[in-house]
Amino acid sequence: MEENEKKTMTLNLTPREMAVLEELAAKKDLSKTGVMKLALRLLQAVDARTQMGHKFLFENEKTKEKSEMILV
Amino acid sequence: MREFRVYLKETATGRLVEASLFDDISDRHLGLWGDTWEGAMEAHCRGRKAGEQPEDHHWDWKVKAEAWRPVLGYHSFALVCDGGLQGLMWVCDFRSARIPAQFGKPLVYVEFLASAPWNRPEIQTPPRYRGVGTVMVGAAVELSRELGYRGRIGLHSLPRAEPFYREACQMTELGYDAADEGLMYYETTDKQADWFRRKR
Amino acid sequence: MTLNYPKAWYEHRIALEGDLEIGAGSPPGCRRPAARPAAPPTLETRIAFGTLVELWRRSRGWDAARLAEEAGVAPREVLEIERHPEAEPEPRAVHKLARVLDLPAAVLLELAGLGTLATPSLREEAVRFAARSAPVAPLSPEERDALESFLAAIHRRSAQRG
Repeated sequence: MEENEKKTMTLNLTPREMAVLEELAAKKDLSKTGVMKLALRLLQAVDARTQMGHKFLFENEKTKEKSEMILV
Repeated sequence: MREFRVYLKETATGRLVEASLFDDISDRHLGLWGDTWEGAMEAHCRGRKAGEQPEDHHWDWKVKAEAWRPVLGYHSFALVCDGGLQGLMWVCDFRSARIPAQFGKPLVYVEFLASAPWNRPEIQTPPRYRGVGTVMVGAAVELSRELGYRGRIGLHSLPRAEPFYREACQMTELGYDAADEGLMYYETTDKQADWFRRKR
Repeated sequence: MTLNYPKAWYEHRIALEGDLEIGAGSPPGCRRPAARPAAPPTLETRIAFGTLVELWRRSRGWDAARLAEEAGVAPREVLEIERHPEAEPEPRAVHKLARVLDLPAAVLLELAGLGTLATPSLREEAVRFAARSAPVAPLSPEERDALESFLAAIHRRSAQRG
């Protein structure tokens, strides 16, 4: 949703970080800015659930083995 | 909060009437929900067995608002016409598509969508307004486009609403999802979204 | 975001929507109605009923969705019957499943804890059947035997009821 007033930020990335950003942008069919915004929203949502006491898990579809992803 | 002019069909007159779609469910909207939807839903459910009640009759929109308002990735919509609350919707913008051709690409996922009790033929015949689904799906598609997702949306349909998503919206049916209470999962591609947006 | 479809668009799309229901969303995350706790005799036979439904459909290679479709019930009703014996199923759903399973509805209603209480002998058979069934593995020869024995017990009970 558009805010009434947007703030601008400059982001310095290492070559490796930029390469990952460009790869994700191509894969997700998003602009690089779109990827960064998506990452921000995802991180906030995961953080909110973790604060509520939920765990962030990966599950192997075939083996049903679960492993926890711990985010700081 | 932004307000968009949209239209619903008023059944009594057969005319299109102006309505307002807000891109935020405010406390005023929640007040309207509590004051008008809950009572009508309870009255309809009284005496009816569980299987005959609307599948969303126990949804608590205040609880949802409390959980999701602070989270950037969740967006809400409220549809108001003639001072009355006609529809509510929450969507999430960080889930991924499942259709193989767009697998892993982000889409707007409709978490919850409901029409006011008096707009449902199962509760009121004839319904007061038609078109709540059209307006809300249109809003989800436009939000998807704004986010750069090219109109991709996804949702789990309540069982009785499957014909709307399959036939009226022409969404792709991906099967009953055992991970989601066995509900049917639907998704649009960008081409399907373009079709939906086309004027005729 | 822009949302400026012309009136003609609404005329066309709303005509397609017609009187169709439009609700979307999955029950988790909502307030769910609390299930009424079942009395112990009913719980035993309901566990067997749920296991019977599950093994019967697995023996045909069906998932819960396929069984629901064949029976004309909601997928979550099948899942509730299979996984939540503490919840009372809808009589309508039990009747519809009985038709697909080709089993006497009256006896399935007894097992589901609806109507007449199951006789001690049926309860015994139900508990024995449920105890012999492994919940996740494909139907083993033993499970198949258990299923056949329990089906025979159901038919015997049906014959007794007349």
